[in-house]
Amino acid sequence: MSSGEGGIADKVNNAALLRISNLEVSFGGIVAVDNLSFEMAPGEVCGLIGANGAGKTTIFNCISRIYTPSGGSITFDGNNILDLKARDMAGIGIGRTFQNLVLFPSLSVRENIEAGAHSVGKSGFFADLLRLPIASATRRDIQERAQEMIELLGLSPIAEEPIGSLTFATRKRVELARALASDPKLLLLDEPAGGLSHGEVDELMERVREVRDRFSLAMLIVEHHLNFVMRISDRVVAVNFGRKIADGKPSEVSVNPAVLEAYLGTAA
Amino acid sequence: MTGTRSPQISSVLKKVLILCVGGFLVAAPFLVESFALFELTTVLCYVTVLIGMNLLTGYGGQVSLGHGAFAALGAYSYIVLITLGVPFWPALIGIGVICFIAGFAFGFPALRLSGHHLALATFALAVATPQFIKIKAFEPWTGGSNGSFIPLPEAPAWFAYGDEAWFYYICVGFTLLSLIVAVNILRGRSGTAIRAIKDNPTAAAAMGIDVARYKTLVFGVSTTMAGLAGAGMSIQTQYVSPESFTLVLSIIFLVGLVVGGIGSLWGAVLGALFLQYVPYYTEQVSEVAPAAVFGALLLLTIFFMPRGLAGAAASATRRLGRK
Repeated sequence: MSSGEGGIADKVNNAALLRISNLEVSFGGIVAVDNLSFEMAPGEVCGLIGANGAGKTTIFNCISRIYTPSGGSITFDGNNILDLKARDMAGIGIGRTFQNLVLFPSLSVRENIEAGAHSVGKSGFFADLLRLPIASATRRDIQERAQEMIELLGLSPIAEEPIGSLTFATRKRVELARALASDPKLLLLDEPAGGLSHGEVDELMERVREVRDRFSLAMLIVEHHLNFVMRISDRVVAVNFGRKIADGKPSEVSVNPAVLEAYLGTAA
Repeated sequence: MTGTRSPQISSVLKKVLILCVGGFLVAAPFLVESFALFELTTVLCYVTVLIGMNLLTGYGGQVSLGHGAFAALGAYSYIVLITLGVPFWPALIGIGVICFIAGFAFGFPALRLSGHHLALATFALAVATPQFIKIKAFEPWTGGSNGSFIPLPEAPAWFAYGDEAWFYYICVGFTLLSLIVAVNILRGRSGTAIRAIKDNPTAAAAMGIDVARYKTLVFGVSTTMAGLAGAGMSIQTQYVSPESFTLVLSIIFLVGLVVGGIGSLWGAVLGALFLQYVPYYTEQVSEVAPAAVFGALLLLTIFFMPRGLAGAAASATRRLGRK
């Protein structure tokens, strides 16, 4: 990855890491995303805000190829991702967390994170089956990567615990570690602060900043917690009924009349 | 923590156990009578099937009620290959390849099915198999409903302990091979992937895991093991008929899997022992209704050991270690 902190502000079109153009998604006649376009530069933290049902998670699911949009295009780092499958996303550098925590309950914390590092490894099924040297090398790489993430996110004391024994906030940290384990260039965080207490949100903010500084990683964050989004983002995109209604610096978007109207329900 | 001693104790216990089992397996032909050796060979075949089913169901979460069908495929592939004049070892490899391809291919439609629906589809396979074998056109090879005799492979000249002991060692060999394959898969990147898929395929795909590929490959590996075991069972009885592979056999496999312990390779061993020896003892308890005693025992096991014999043994050694 080549981008430094300097690259955040200048939005040179060709340098966009993620480019969403004229995205359309409809479910049986209901338009969930309507002609939506925006771009993200490498290393940029972008907040995606909007009321419930505004289409935020739908946009996420298009980027991670869980949904196929009915129109428009999404390119990432030179790839047209609509040509690719959900399982290819980790390999090209898109990691994600889920709105409702989707961890692997029968795996330990460490194993969850190792599963996240799957795309870091190269050994195939038969290499593993025969325990070829590449299988052992891959296993070592994955273990090292997982260990690094465990230390980074302070999960060492509970690394061998099953997921079921952890608090909600800790599970969120595990999910973040798992998403980071694939060494993404873009991290999609779906409501990272959802369900957390005040203190936990502040801690999360610290972690997210730490992670972003360390890996100079772009993040797209869907979040209801406005304070969190405004403080952490370089840019905020606001959507309402699947349409983009504002796109700019947090300070600008937070006073945008259309945003206030849509998001807070108050006529400005 | 009081548990700091327990991992050491259980790992020592494990080593001792492995040595004992290994020593016994090597010495068995010299220790036990021929009928007991016959039973032991059957146990080994069960172990092989159950290792495969554990990979598929226990770790991979795909339920199969049709592994008896793949055992049949293994047995009949052997007969056909031998009839065609293929020597024993190449025939054994041939069975492996045929059953792998069949399982791998079946794995694709299975991808569209989950849970109960997959169980039902494999059930259909198990129901159809005996009738399929009876088809007239195949009779020259299969022997139709009369079944077919199978010769025991001859021991090489340097092996002085007879064909039965020779075949027993062959079964020890493929059981060990299955175990090693399972351990290798589970310890590597593929093992984590398979278990992640079981928990949540969507999240697994988001981690870059190729869900379809792993599911079909695991299906193939597990049916290879079922096929080898099916061939093993028929070779040692030296006879095979469609009735050897009814639906009941598939269900028996599932019973062994659950009783032994789902998601544990030791469970495969314990489940196999249960399948072979418990019916024998239930007959001693009640000559009129051995099945009723077996059923009652099954209920008790599931009720008191929901994680199977292996699960119960694991928590027992943990308790032992803590003392």
